[in-house]
Amino acid sequence: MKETNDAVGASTPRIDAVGKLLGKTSFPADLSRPHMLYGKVLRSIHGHARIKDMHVREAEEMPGVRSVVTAKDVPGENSQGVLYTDMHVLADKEVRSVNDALAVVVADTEEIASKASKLIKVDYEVLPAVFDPETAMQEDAPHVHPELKTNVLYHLPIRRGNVEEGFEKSQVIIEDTYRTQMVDHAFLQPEAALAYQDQRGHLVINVATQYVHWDRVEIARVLGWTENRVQVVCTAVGGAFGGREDMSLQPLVALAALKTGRPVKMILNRKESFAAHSKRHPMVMSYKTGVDNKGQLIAVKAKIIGDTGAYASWAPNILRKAAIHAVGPYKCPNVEIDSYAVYTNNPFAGAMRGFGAAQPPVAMESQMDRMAEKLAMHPLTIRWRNALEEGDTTATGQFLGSSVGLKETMLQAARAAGWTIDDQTGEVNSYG
Amino acid sequence: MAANLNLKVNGQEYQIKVDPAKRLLDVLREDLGLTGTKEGCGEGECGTCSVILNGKLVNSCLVLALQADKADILTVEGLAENGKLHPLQQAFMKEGAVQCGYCTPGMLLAAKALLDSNSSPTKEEIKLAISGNICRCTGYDQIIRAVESVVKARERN
Amino acid sequence: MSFSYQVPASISEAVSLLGELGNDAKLLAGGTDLVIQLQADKYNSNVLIDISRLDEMRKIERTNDSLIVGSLCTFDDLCKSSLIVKYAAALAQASAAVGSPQIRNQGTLGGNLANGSPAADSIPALMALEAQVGVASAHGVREVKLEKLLGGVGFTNLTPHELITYFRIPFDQSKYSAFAKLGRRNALAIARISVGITVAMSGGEIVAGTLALGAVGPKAYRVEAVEKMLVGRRPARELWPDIEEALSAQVAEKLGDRASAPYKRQAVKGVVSAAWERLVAGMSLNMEV
Repeated sequence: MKETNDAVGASTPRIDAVGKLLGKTSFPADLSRPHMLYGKVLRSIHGHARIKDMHVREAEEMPGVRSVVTAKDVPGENSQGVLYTDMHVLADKEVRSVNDALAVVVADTEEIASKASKLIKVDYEVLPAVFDPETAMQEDAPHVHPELKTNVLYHLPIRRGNVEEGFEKSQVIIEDTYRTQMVDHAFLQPEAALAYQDQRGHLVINVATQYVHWDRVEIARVLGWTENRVQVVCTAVGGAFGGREDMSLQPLVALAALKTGRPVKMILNRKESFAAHSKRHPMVMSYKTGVDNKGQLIAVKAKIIGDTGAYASWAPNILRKAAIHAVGPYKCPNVEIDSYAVYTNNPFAGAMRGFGAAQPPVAMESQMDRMAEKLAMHPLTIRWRNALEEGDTTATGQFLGSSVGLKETMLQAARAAGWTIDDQTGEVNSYG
Repeated sequence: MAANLNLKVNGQEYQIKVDPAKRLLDVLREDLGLTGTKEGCGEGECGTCSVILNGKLVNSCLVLALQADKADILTVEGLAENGKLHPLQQAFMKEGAVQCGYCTPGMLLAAKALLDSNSSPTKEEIKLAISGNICRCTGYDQIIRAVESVVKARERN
Repeated sequence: MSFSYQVPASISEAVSLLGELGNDAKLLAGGTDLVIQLQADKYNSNVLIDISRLDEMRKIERTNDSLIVGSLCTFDDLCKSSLIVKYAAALAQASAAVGSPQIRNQGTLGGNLANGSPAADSIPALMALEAQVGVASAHGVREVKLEKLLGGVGFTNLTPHELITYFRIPFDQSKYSAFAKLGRRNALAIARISVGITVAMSGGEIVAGTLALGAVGPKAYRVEAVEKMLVGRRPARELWPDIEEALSAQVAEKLGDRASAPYKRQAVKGVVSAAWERLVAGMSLNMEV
């Protein structure tokens, strides 16, 4: 391609488009190596249980089965996690969610591995579990990680001005609790990975991941190896949206390849994929907001509880972001926010598009609509009158010195809706 | 209890032995090495495994291989001819209709099946034709534009 | 999962195989449900009988008072058939509402009945059209009213030796029909409620009507109380409020305190109204001709 100065503003074809259009691009499930074996994961069927015993012999003895990998086969640390290593790679004493892997059956074919995994008998003692984050915050709730002596993983308080004084001055106050649900990324390509040892004896892991260099740290820790002996190769990634930031198959396929001395491929079906990766945090958001008779926000009080499930993943960062976005893109002198990340025995939550910024608007924007309704004000007017502009300071004390395009964006949106806005008063006229 | 299976895929004849439980998708990917056809859900919801079987778009995860005995099949690998991209492939590239690429093979074949039976579909007909194919990167607009651009180019000629 | 695969060359070969094997065999038509069951290891027969090539069961014919629709007709065949569109609009509309283009290319009318899903799209349409089902066995062919074959969730009243070969749909020129469905989205949605409706007209007045609901309870059923209410009315663009209310009450009674009841007893009004608007549109279209 000739070098020109026309690149800025021009659309250039993606360099990976041709391979993808021809069907030649390799996703991990498309890869094969000679003498390759297949691995199948057995996961917990309980939210919380003690593993009294696990019988693998019948599976091991099935023709075609090469190995059953369990916690005993982890040479390094049996733990993983992007912020806290609070998740076992292979559980052996206790399971804390249906995410927990117990064993990997490695066999000549996928079908054999799948059949054999069903022959493993796990003797569970079901323990009290907690599936609701508000319940999990109560004193008498069972602890997901008993050594922490609390289920509250993270708390961020934000204080600005005095909310009680703000509510006293408010003309309209709305108070309510909003809940969002757990959401799966449902990226189109279910997890798959291929691991083998190269001529140097180094372990090579082909996987679709969002976090190649961190994967290497985690795998090396599990193997008890130095990082230079672990090579993570990122194949084409069939969508991720945050769901491929945590470990899924990487340490498991590495252990399987190491134990058998053969290349091992693992492919999850859709159902297994749902159990293998994080979810969007369900949040419980209790809001109390007040405005004066002109629709000016005076006070926002919010309590946000994010259910991170059994494992932390990115929860502190995500609940921090939720807190930062709790007031929306609006000015408010009096703010009191408490954001919590709470452990439960639900499937774990982690990064997903927006990273904590997607849930609070459900609550805050509903509050804005309801306050506007009470004031008999157009919903765009109340937002216009509170919209952040250059020179403003956010609820968390961030000074916005430049590049604040909110009002310009609102103007464009209004135009598209067939509305005009008086930029002094924020009053809206419809001509559409 | 392996059985004989005769297939014509992308113009090439194959004769293999398969287990009756095998799906067409498995045979394409594992026995014939045509991994361009993807598995996304395994139950006909996502369309990533779409192929054209005797002229009809089908989910190859819902077809048993032996059901396709003696069939003529087109997969994504058969779209380009003599090293030249199919007009749909060119249009997908030009319109930015390829993102993660996992839905792309199925989308291309859904669009191909449409254009084979309808030379100048409307936008609504294009949407209907790809309604069995999910794009989680949500690049539907670009995909629809790509198909429209092929239709327009045809109409010009 | 291991089984043998048989490909009979004719209906008689297929029924004689079924006669021998009975419960030991399972029939494969379109495969859109069966292949999923195979993958999920929910399959426990030793023989799979692939009838998908029996083209004698993939015809659509017209006699002087009926359409004979082969059980292997795919939904794509049905929604594109001019005979079905003209004489059994409800079935054409139901077929167009099934799954996705891929599923419509694969799934068959016979399979939709045999699979026993309470949400099968074609069933309320066929029921409203008062379809009879041709069932073959080694002992010959019998014709049964569709309702008699519906067993419940996941099963029919067919014996393991029987094969659905065709559907007989009576028609007359004075009859109009339509179908509508409510799903969570347009494509690939399992019906939450579906409805088939027909009216027979004389002198601008409804002289007879049928109305069948699907996905409300374990099997589709006719709502006779509402059918009677239709008689004697002159069709208008919108469905009558008293009929909407009667349907709502009927659904409430059927579902009792099931979780879906509060939603469905409201939603049924919208679904039946949508079907009605289609029916009336078809009627005026025909009158212009």
